Amino acid sequence: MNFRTPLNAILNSYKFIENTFKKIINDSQKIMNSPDCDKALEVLDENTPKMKKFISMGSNSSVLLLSLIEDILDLSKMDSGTFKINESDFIIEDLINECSDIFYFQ
Amino acid sequence: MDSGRIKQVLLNLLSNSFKFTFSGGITVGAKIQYMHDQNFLKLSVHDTGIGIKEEDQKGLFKLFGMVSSKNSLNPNGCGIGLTVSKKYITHMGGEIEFHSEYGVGTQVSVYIPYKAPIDSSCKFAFETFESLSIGDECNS
Repeated sequence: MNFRTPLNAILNSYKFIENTFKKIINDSQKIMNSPDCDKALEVLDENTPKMKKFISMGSNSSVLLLSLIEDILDLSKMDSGTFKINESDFIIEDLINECSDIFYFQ
Repeated sequence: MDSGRIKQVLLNLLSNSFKFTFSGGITVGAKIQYMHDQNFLKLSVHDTGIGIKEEDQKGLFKLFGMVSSKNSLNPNGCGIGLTVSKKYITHMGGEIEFHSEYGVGTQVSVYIPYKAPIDSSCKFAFETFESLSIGDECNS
């Protein structure tokens, strides 16, 4: 990294933090989407519902943690002027249900 | 519209409501509202939580600004959720409206410009509600 001016230092630090967080996000998504996790849930289906509840809480908490990291990432993007809105079609009811589901078990 | 960012905003609002609601419920609403010669998607989160004192409401949207959290279910907040949510909405050309009464509850409404045409098949032109109940069952 080239830290010649204070502005460069700030911009490069943002880039460094952004890349680090991106890696954390990728790793978190890999864990969440891994077949082992599904297998673990299948095994838990046969076991106590309480354990399944705890796994769901852990999974929901990781989603919340991910959203916190994304918030911090976006703050740095806004400060560096690289923040962009991604237009996409979606179903509002599904979006509300997905958000509410995260809090049902808490 | 940016579904990812809208989801982030909704998660932040729900997370705040959940932290400060001990009984009653949290209601999430969505509808299309026509105002200022334009259609807006209105998302609202209404809770029957502890509410926020008037003097504390001023610093709510400041980065790392937090209301005293000794009564919170989860005191580990960072104070960035509302700031980021407001910035997201401002970037989308919308606005956040906030009403809170101490001891009664809080309602946060988000207005985002909605550019797609609305016809009779548009289901959420009508109000859609999803509610969460908070009580002894949920906290056990």
